[in-house]
Amino acid sequence: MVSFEKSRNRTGVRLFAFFSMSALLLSTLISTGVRAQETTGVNPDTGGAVIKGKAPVAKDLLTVKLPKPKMFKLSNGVSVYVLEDHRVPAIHMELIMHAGMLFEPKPAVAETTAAMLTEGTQTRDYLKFAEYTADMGANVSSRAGADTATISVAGLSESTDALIALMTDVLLHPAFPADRLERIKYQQKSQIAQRRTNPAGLAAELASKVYYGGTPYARTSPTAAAITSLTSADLKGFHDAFYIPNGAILGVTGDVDIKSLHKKLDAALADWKPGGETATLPKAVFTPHEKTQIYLIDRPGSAQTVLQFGNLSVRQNDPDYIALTVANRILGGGSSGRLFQNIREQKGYTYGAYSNLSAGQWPGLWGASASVRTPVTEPATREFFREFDRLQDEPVAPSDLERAKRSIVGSFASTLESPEAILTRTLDLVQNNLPLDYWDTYPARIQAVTAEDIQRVARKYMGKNRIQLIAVGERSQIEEGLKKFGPVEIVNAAALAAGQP
Amino acid sequence: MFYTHSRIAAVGVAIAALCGAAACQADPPEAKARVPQIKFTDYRLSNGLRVILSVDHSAPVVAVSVTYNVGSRNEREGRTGFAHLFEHMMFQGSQNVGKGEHMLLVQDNGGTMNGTTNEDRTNYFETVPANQLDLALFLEADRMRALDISQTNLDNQRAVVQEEKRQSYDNQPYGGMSEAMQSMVYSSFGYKHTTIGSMADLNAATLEDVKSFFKTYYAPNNAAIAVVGDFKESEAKAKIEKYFGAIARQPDPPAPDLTETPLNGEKRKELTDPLAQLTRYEAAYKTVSGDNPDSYALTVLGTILSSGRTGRLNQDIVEKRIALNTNAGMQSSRGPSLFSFSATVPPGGNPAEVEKAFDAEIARIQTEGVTEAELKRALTQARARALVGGGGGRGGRGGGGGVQSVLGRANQLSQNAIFYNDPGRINTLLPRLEAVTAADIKRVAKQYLNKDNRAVVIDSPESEPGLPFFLAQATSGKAGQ
Repeated sequence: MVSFEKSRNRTGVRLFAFFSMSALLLSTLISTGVRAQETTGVNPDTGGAVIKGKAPVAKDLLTVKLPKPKMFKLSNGVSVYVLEDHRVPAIHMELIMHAGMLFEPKPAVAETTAAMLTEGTQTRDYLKFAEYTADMGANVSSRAGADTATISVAGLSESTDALIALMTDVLLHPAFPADRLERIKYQQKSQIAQRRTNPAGLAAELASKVYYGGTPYARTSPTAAAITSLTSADLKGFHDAFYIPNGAILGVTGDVDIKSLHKKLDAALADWKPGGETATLPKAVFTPHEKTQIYLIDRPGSAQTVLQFGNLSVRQNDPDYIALTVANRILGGGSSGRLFQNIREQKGYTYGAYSNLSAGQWPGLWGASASVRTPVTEPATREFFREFDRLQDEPVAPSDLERAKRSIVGSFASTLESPEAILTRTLDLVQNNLPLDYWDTYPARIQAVTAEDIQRVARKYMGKNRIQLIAVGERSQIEEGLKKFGPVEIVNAAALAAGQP
Repeated sequence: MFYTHSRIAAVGVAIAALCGAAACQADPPEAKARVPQIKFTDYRLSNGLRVILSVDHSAPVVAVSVTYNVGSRNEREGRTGFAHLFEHMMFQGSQNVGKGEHMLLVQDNGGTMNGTTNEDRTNYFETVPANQLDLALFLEADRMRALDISQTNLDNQRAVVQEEKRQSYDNQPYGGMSEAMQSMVYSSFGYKHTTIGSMADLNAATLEDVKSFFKTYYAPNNAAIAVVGDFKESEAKAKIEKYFGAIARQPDPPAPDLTETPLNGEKRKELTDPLAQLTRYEAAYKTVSGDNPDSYALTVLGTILSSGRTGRLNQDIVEKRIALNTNAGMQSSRGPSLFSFSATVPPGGNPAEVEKAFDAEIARIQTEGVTEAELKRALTQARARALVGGGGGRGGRGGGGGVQSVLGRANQLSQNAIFYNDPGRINTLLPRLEAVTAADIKRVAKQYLNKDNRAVVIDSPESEPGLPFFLAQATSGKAGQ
C-alpha cells in the first residue's frame, strides 16, 4: 500500500542517508549489566558532541532472543529451515545453492544463468510467467552472488501450493530461450555502464580488485565482450552442474504449517536429484596490504571526491570478529560514530562519513568512506587517518566502549519486526558454518570486549601504513594533496571496464 | 502451453509432480487475503498538538514520528533550501539536549532516527526498543519547546547541507533535472523551487531566520505526533501530556500562496550533463492533490503502465529497446501532484522516439482504455504488496520500511493527519483504489495527460559517449540483435 502511494521523494532530502545493517534477533526482555551513559559535558571521543545528560534513558537494556528455526531434510538431502510466523498471511522462501560467480567456468555465466531462470520455463514464456505471478500477488526472483545463487519466492500463504510450484518450475525447468538471453545480455551491459557513471559505483568496483588482488575473490563486473559471448548452452551447462541439491539450503518464513510444508516440498522436489560433486570455494591466500597505496580514478566534472579507505578484515568465525564489530561501531557506525561526529558534525566536510565491516566464509573488508567537496579532499583524508590512528593509539574511554556495546546489543529488538530479517540471519549462520545459537551468546561476547581488544584489532587490521585508499574525483585538483599520504597510482576507468589489471 | 509433444515427454514426470493439486496450466489462484485494518486513537492536547496512538505488541519496539506542517513550499524567495537546513538544526541541540546528543542517545540505546524534508512537510522520527519510549518522547518534546541554536552550529550544518546537495545532485548524472522540471511545471513559488535549494540561498540563511522559522512553524498546533508499537495506550497518553503538554501554542502560521495557474501549453527544456553518459527523458503532467478522487484513478493508471514486466511501458517500449528503462506514475502528495513519465535513452537511441512512444501509450489509454484484467492485476499487486512486501523476497512486516513496519505506519499516520486531516487514510486508501473503474482511468487520462498540460526535460551527455565505461561495447551488443 505504501509503495502504491509514491511519495514525492524525488526532491525529498533528509538529515543523513545511511541504512545501518542492524543486527537481528529476538523476543523477550531481560535486563543486563550494560549501563546507559551517564557522562556529562563535552565528550572529545565523539568529536565534540555535547552531552547534557538530562534525557530520561531506561538503564535496562532490552535484549531479545532469536527464534530458532525448525529444521528438516528433504529426501534429496536439502536442509530446510522454517520460521513459523503467523502475524501476516504471507510466506517467503529462499532457496540457496552453491552456484555463484566463484564457480563459473567463464565470466558472467553465474549471474546470467540466475537472471534467466525467470525469463521463461518449459511451460510458460517469460510474459506468461510474469502475468501469472503478478495475478496471484507473488514475487519470484533469482540472483547470483559471489558464492551462491538464490531463488526467492514470496506471496500470500493461501497460495503456498502455487508458490512452491513456481519455485520448482524456475529451478528445474528453465528454458533459456535465445531471444530472452539477448535481451538480458543487453540489459546487463547497460546496467554496468550506468553504474559506472556513479562515482561510488566506480570506487566499489576498484575496491574489489585492490583488496582481493590476484585471488578469484577479486570480483569486478564482466566485460561487454564476455557478456556478448554467452550462449544458451553455457547457461544450461552451468545450470546442470551447479543447480543441484548438494549443499543447498531452503529457508522458509511466514504463515506456514511445518508438517504439510515438509510433505509438499518433498513431493515438489522429488525429481531434483543430487549431482556428482558439491562445489567448494576456491582456495586462495589472502594477503592484507602492508603498505599504504592510493588509487585515483579521474572523473572530470566531479563536484566531490569519493574517498574509500580500507583493508582486508577476517572471516566471521574468526576470534577477532567480535572485537572488530565493536571497534567498527566506535569508529564509524551510524551518526554516533567518531567519523560522522568529527568529519561531518565538526568539520562540515561531508554529508556523511561512516565505516563498515563485512565478514563471511572468506575474509571481508573493514573500510570507511565519505564524499567530500573537492577542495577539502586533503584535510578530510587527514581526518580519516587521524581517526584510524586514534583508535590504535588511545584506549577508548570506558563510557564510549559501553555506548558502542549497548548500541549493538540494543539494536536487536527492531529485528523482531521482520521475519525476513530473522530468516536471513539464520541462513547466514548456516552458510558461515556457525552454530544456530550464535546470536544467543553474541551479547555476552560483545560485552567481553575490552579497550585493549579495540586497540589490538585496530592496529592489526587498520594499522599504520596498511590502509588502501581509493579516490574518485577531479584528478587535477586532488592528486597533489593525496600524494602526502602515500604513493598515488592513477587508474584508468576504461581499463577497469575492459577488465585489465 | 507453448510446448510440443516431445517436450511433454521430456518433462512429463516433473510436471505431474509439481502441478499436483494446483495444475500449473490453470489460472493463478485468486488472491483473497485482506489487508488488516490498523486501529488507532486520535486526539489533541490542549495546545493543539494532534496525537495518534496505535498499539501493536507483536515486536518489542516503538516508533515515534512527528510531522510538522512546514516544507519547502513555505519558503520565501531568497531562502530556498531553508526548511531542510532548519531540519538539520533540530539535531544541533535544545535546552536539555546537547549538539549531537540526540543521535548518540537514540543510537547508543539500540534505536534508529532521522529527519526528512520535502515540499509539503518536515518529519522527525525514531524507532527505539520498547522500554525507551520516554527517551524518544523527551527528545522530540525538548526540541519542539526550546531549540538551542548557535552561529557555529548553523555554519557547520550549512556546510553539511551543501555537501548533501553536491553528493545527491551536483555530483550525480541527471542531478539538475528535478529543478528544471519543477521550475517549469509549477507557477507558485512554493512548488517552483526544489527542497534542496540553491547554494546562494543556503549561504544567505542567518541565525535570525532560524529563530523566526522555529517560532512560526515549530509549534504544537502545527504538528502531529504518531506513536506506533509496543506500549500501553494509557501510559503513552500520560507521557505525551507530561512531555508535550506545557509547550506553548503559537499563532497559526500564515498559509503559503500556492495558487497554480494552468500550464496552457507545453513547456520544454534541454540540459547538457557532464556526468551523464546516456540521455534521460522526463515528462510531467500537472494533476490534482492526493485527496482528489481523480488521484486514485491516476494512481492505478500509473501501476498499469509501469508495474514490472507486465506493465505496458515495459512491453511496448523497453522490450522494443526504444528505452533502456521507463517509469511512470502518480507522485501523490497534498499539493498539485505530478503524473510523470521518465526513461533512459539507449546508446544510439533518440529521445524523440521515446516521447513518441510515451505519447502513443497515452493516446491508447485515452481511446481504448485499460482492460479489466489489467485493472484487477494492479489492485491485486497493491493489496499483496501491503501483505507480502515489495519483491526480491524482501518486504513484508518491517522488511520494506513501508506501512507494515511500526515506523512506516507512524510516518503515514502523522503525515496523513497533517496533509489531509485524515490519519485513517492508512486504511481507506486501498478501498478507494479498489473502487476505481476502467471508465475512470480513461476519463482521467483524457482530462490530465494532454500536451498542453505538461513540461518536458531532456538531459543529454555533454559529449558523445566514448568515455570510459562501456557504452561503445554496449552499443555493439545491440547491433548484434
